[in-house]
Amino acid sequence: MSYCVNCGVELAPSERKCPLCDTPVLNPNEDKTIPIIKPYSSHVETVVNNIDRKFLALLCTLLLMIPIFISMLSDVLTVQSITWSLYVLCAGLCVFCIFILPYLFKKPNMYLCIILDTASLLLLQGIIDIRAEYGKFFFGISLPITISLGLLSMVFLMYKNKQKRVLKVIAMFLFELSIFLLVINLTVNNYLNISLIPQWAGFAIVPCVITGIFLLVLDKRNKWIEGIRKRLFI
Amino acid sequence: MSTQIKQKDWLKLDNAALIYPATQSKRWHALFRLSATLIDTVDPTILQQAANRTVKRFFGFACRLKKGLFWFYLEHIDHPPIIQEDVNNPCVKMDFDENNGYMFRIRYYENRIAVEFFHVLTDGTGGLCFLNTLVAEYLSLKYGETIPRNECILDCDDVPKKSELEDSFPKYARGVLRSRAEANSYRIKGTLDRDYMSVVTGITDIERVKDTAKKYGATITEFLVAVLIKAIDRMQLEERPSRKHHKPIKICVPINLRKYYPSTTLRNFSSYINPGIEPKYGEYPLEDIVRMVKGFMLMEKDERLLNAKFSTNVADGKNIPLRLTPLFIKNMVLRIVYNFVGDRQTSSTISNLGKITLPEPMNKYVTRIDFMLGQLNLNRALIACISYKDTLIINFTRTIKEADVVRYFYTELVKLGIHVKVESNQR
Repeated sequence: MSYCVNCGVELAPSERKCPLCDTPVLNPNEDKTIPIIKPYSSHVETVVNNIDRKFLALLCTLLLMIPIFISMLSDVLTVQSITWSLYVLCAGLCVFCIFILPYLFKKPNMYLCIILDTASLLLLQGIIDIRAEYGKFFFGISLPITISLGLLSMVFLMYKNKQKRVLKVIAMFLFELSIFLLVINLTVNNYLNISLIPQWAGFAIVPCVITGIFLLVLDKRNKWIEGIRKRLFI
Repeated sequence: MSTQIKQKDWLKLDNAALIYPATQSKRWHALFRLSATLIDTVDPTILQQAANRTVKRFFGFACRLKKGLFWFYLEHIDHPPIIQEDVNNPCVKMDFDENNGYMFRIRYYENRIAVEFFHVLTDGTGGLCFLNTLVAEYLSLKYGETIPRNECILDCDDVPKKSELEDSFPKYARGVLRSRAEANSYRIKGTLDRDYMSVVTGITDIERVKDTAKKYGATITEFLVAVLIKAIDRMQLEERPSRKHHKPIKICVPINLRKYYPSTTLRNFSSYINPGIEPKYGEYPLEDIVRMVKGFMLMEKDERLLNAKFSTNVADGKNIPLRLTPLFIKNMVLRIVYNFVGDRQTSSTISNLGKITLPEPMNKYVTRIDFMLGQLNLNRALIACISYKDTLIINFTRTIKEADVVRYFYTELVKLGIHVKVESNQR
């Protein structure tokens, strides 16, 4: 048996140094033929430290309510009605839907989140259009662009959930980006009553589509992928 | 009146358990661990069978934690628990999803069976009953032993009783309340090692400790509390040589309320007292510390004072505005309040489960029983003791790298003539 010369405690055979003062154990008379069974397994369990996102999301929601409440209160106190504070309220709702809502649930339904994001954006733009009396801005520009963004996001999400190949997912993203740019171009042209032939969008669509096609072709050539990986790995 | 319970029931949390789910964090896991060392290597297949039988008997343990609108509640689980291999660092934060929903985990390593409990389920007494029953079932299955059952080793062929699931706090609480306010204590400081709990086990002869405690006119618990206070006092003195600014040193000592009331619940039913000293008034030799601890515990362990203490918690739980507050707000508030109050009132904790006696058919297979406390929010070093046969096992757990307080504690015992053998989980 070994004792710590510093602390005076007897040390179990499994101790190579005193756990109280780190003094190494040197016992020349120690019987090395007796197998030593350590009192604990050598496997150390690690903890994945998850940030309490839900608590953080709730905290952010409460903080977000402060400017909304203050602006609505000052609006009511000054002009006895809700005027400009409606913008703050709608903008706050957008921020909540886009940035905070997904963190309130352990497994958020992303499709529902996209629908709510699109709805909140439409609401904000609609309120701006009504109050500022821009005319056909909401129905001419905001609505088609926002809805197409929402639809394309949902399609992309559906594709991403089904598709495991990264290159195909990136290709899909590029194709959808092309469609979105096309929609913007056509919508703006329509609103301005000019030709429905896309102009500036072509400069972005062509490289996106070509890159997307290239990625789809590359996806089928594993040798090329390995070659690129070999040369470009960090 | 039926004393047996329906299956598939749900349970409310007992009064002491209410705080744990809200305040569980990276720093406070509210776990404790009990283990039994056998003469042979543990067979995991037989252990799984024993666990399946034991869990059926302990209805209140086979539950998952669920969120209601106003309170957490426990929902019964039908599927069996998963047996796991033990790890180097016990009482790591429990992921209930990974654990099949269970709030305890059964682990094995070499000759040892260990069970780690989340404090929502039970306290040390209830946990010990579970471990004893599990080991009894294991020994019956492995060796064919017939082990006599009693209130500490339950019969798994019996059905769970209502009295075992009772929340005894409101049952025995009376209307008189008592303030929980106390001065904050000195906190042991060090380099935090949050995800690794260091364990130093001191194995001593119980008769020797008892004789030494008797010389000071104290019980084993009072004596160990005094030694720990002295160790912490030494730490505070090294940190700040001038005693004028020293903070009080108090140790949290859990008290089993089943000794005062005829409760057979397997859930939480314990209170606590915080004996200590005020080092700013001067140096206290060990005999004076023992005297003060003994006097404090004699006064505070009075049934009327203990009742007033837990009656205050029960009254808080019955508060209508609090009950009507949605759970997510309650959790936030509880967490903030606990961070400010919590275990700031004490420097450390000593929990002594006392002397364990097992029936003879078990005695020949069980060589040792251990008890360990998981990390608390602010108290970085904790002691848990248990005696079995003629050995007193003192498990000193800490979540700081420095072992000064542990060294001071054990070397003080050695200086008093108590032989201590130490083993640890150091890497």
